[in-house]
Amino acid sequence: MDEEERSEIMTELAVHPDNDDEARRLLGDRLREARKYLGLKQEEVATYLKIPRTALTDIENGQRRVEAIELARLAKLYRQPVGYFTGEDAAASLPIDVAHLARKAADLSEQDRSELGRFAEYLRARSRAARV
Amino acid sequence: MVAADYPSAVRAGTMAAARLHQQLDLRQQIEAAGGNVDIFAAIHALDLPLLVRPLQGLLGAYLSEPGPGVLVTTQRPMSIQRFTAAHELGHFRMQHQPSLDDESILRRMPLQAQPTGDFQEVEADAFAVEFMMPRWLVAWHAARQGWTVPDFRRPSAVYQLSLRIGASYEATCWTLARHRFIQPTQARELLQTQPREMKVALLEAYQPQDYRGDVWLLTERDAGARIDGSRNDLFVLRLEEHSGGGYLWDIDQLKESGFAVVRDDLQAIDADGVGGPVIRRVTATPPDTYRGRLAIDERRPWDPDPPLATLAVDVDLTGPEQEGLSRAERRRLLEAA
Amino acid sequence: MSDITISVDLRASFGPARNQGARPTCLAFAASDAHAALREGWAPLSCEYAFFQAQRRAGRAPNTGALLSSMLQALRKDGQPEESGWPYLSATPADVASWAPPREIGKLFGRNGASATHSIDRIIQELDQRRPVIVLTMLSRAFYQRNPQGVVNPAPGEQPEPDRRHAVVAVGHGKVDGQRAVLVRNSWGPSWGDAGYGWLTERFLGSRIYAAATLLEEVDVPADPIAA
Repeated sequence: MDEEERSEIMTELAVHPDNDDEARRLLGDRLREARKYLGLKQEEVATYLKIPRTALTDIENGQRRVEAIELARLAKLYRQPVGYFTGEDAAASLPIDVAHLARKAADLSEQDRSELGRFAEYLRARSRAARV
Repeated sequence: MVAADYPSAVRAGTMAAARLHQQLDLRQQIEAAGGNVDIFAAIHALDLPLLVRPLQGLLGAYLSEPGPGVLVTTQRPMSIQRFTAAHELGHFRMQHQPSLDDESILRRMPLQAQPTGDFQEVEADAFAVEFMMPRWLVAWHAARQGWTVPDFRRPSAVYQLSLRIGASYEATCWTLARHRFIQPTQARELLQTQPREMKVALLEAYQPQDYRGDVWLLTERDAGARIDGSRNDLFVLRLEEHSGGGYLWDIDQLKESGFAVVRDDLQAIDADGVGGPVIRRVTATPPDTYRGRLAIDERRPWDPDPPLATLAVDVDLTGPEQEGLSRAERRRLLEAA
Repeated sequence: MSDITISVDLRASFGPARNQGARPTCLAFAASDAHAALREGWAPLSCEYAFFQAQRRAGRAPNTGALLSSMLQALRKDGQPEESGWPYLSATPADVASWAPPREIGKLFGRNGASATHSIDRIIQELDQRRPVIVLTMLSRAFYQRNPQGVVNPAPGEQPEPDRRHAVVAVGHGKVDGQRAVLVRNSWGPSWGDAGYGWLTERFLGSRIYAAATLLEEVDVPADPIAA
């Protein structure tokens, strides 16, 4: 595919922030974080996407533009809606309190509590991704 | 509806597990291919989200909102991760309330443990035991290994059984009693012996850095089997060798697969006769996170003829589960790609 | 290539090397072949019969090795038919109860035997008298290696393995690269060594040989041992 075609299918990334570099950096951060949360290695994901590992590194560092197809495939792999990564999914940022679950485990550690919260957020995004 | 009394709760959990086995066709698969009940693969097959995370006080959790999901800790050996996952799967299948599960799920294993009044937990416990360690699975491995009921009083046999069904030694002892292969008092007697003692006995003169890894005793009876172990596990091969007829086990094949042979010796079967078979005993340490098919042949080393016998096992020593997706889900996602 | 000088070679008294397969029957092959070589012309004798009788006399199972004393006793008291009388079974019978000689096995040939001092000097003396010797030896790695000349010489530091015991027939002697050596007939088929024969150097055999026997005069045995 040549440069012209490539640009045609380029994603319209987040409307805000208006700085493209900043938007790419945020997108890269979210993609990296999602990958790490699932315990996937860069090599594994790069192979899945059929791109060089260095290309994935560049994406996660905000140094490479992400094609729409790539983003869709990443979102599918990470089981999250595309909007979760582009920042368009506002609900994604709301923390979930799992305190009500802790009824039996009063001595729940801070770390476990935050793992539960993070997991609940993952489940929420995942269920939204499934609906899309 | 959670059961209203203890026996009903046990029955409900057991039946739910048996139904799921049927639904997933697990018994037929295992009886054809060997190995244990792959709990993580079952969870993935049901599309129940599961992540393995570094939980400290909890062994696992089941959430139902915003959608159902299971967390399992990275901080425990594979056998405990499996049991925890099976317990959480029980919560999911029986449409339970969310549950945060700590050590108490293990403390409830003994038959005479103080029964909890929380019948939702009783159901999930019974589900986990039946799903991971059904009677037919124990019977299948026993038949395969040539163990009969008296062997279940030998800690060394029960330890090897525990590795093959992917449960802890303690859980295996109590499960044998639950399935009435042995008496509860005999389970307690078995528990007088610690797995560490059995590892030391199997390894004899070889001393690993620590005894955290399990020690698999592999024989001809494991041919064609699946070995699901963990990173630090060790193998002790104990094979009849027909060296009086010129046949030797080709231990170099182990080395070619990356294993280090740390001990290689013979044990006499017969001190008097000439030309009879001997027992070849080989202790091998696998390469880091080994996964593959291990095959060694008993052959005449000078002769290109086909081997007399082959011991082939499918080995996966990538346990325990690491942070993130389970290995089962990871492989489905990435290896299919 | 090793330099082999042959002093005595009785191979002409034997037919092609035989193959015991994976069964623990090496002593039956060594004894039967030594026995057959003493007879006029080469007609292989039934190893199955000799092994069966030796195990019966010692009360030993068919999946274990035999004892030299009971093998000599079997040859002396039970004798053995020609190979065609009870052809060799490729595998140990799964059902021990079914392991019995056929009804018609033909004429039985008996042979007296005696154990001999297990030294290389003694073996060479016997061979110089053109008598083959049944040799019981421990093995080690060198014995299993491919060597078209059949030379079996231990690697430096290679130790005898007392649990791996084997029986062969000494059929000649000579020198291998200046070292005394005994030529043996094995029962591992013609692919082993030089068409089934091997030269065991003194360095190999000296520390591994642990028993020996020679076969003596022909003796009469009862015609129908099963009825006896």
